[in-house]
Amino acid sequence: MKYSAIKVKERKLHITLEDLKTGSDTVLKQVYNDNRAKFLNFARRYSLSEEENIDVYQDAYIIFYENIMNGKVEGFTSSISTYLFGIGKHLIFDRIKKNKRLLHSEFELTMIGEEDQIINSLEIEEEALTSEQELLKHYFETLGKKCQDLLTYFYYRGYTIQEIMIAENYNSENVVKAAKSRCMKTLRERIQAKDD
Amino acid sequence: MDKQGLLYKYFSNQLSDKDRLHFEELLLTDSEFRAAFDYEKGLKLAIKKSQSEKLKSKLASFEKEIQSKKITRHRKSKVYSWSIAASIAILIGVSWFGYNTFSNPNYNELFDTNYEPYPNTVHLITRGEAHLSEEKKAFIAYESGHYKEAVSLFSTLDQNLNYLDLYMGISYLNIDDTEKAIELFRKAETKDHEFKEAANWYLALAYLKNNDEQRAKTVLEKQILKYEFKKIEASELLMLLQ
Repeated sequence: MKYSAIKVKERKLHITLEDLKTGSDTVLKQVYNDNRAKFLNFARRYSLSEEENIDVYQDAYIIFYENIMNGKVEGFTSSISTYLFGIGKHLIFDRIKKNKRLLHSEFELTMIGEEDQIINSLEIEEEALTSEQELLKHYFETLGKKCQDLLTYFYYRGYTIQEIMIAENYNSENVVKAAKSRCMKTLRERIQAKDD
Repeated sequence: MDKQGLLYKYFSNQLSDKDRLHFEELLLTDSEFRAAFDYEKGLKLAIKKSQSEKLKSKLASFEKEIQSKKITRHRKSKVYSWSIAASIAILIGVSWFGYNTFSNPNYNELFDTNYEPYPNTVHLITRGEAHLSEEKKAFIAYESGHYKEAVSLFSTLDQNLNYLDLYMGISYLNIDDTEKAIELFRKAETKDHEFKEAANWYLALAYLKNNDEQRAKTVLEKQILKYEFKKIEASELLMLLQ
């Protein structure tokens, strides 16, 4: 862990899955900057504006990153840019459908081979939150950092109690379990308190 | 296995095939279990959303950095071509014209070069939200450049919100109500919060737009002495006004 943190201080040529998983902002930025021009160039083939293309790039990047964090991507079978293009193409297609814009040619958006497979293995759709879930989000964000981290490890990254214990330096699994129950209790109480 | 254990296994991706059958059956038959599951599933989605919003704002800051580098490059090349143009002008001997332009800066042009709307740092706007608060609606109008609408939406909000004077001022500036904008920036600048630095900078620009060189200079001097926001731009602008 420490070693990779030192390594990423300098500009790296090959970013690994582990580098991305550390959640380091330096890596996040480097990957963003390295793939941006390539992606925008590719996206210009379609009928969206430059601003929309940047927006799509960011959304594709977020989806890619989420799938790394939740363990859906277990190893790079393709280059990072292939993942981004695959997701990006899907998002562009979605937007064009929504905007009801005409495509220059239907063929251009047919996905082929590698990119197609990528899409199938990832979690892409983002559901809008219901009002209860908006509340959960709001009160989750009012929790202390320790609670937010713990619940994020569990629900967002799918860590087991044991993995959380190691990642966050807890003394035992029971301590993690107790902490998790406390955080959940606080969350429930805060939501209930709003109605009182 | 108890129900709590099943939920735990589900969310940490450890359900065996046998567990899964049991799990799915409970979802259909046990309403209490179903409610507990929905709650945790909702929390999972809420955390995901919270993470993706954080990520989006990080990416937006990377993007801003890229864009601002581009602008600096653009400005440099502008200065370069301007210096060529200036030498030619001197060469062909229209020094009188040159003298005149330098001694009377074009305030509108200076305003246009330096003005860009302050980014929305208050509300992250994401697509597909079911319920929009008035506050969010105001920022959507602001971000999409519908300043008239933004003014009327901002006016409905609690006037003590610390960011309000700044964003409302900028909206007024865009619909050419400079006096109102000046009033709001001055008000924002007297308060103690994170937006006062920006408010002072926009106050200088508003004076410039009003051709009030003297006040613009005073405010710019203050910007350079007291604040970090747009410090370099402020000193460049001040030099042009001297």
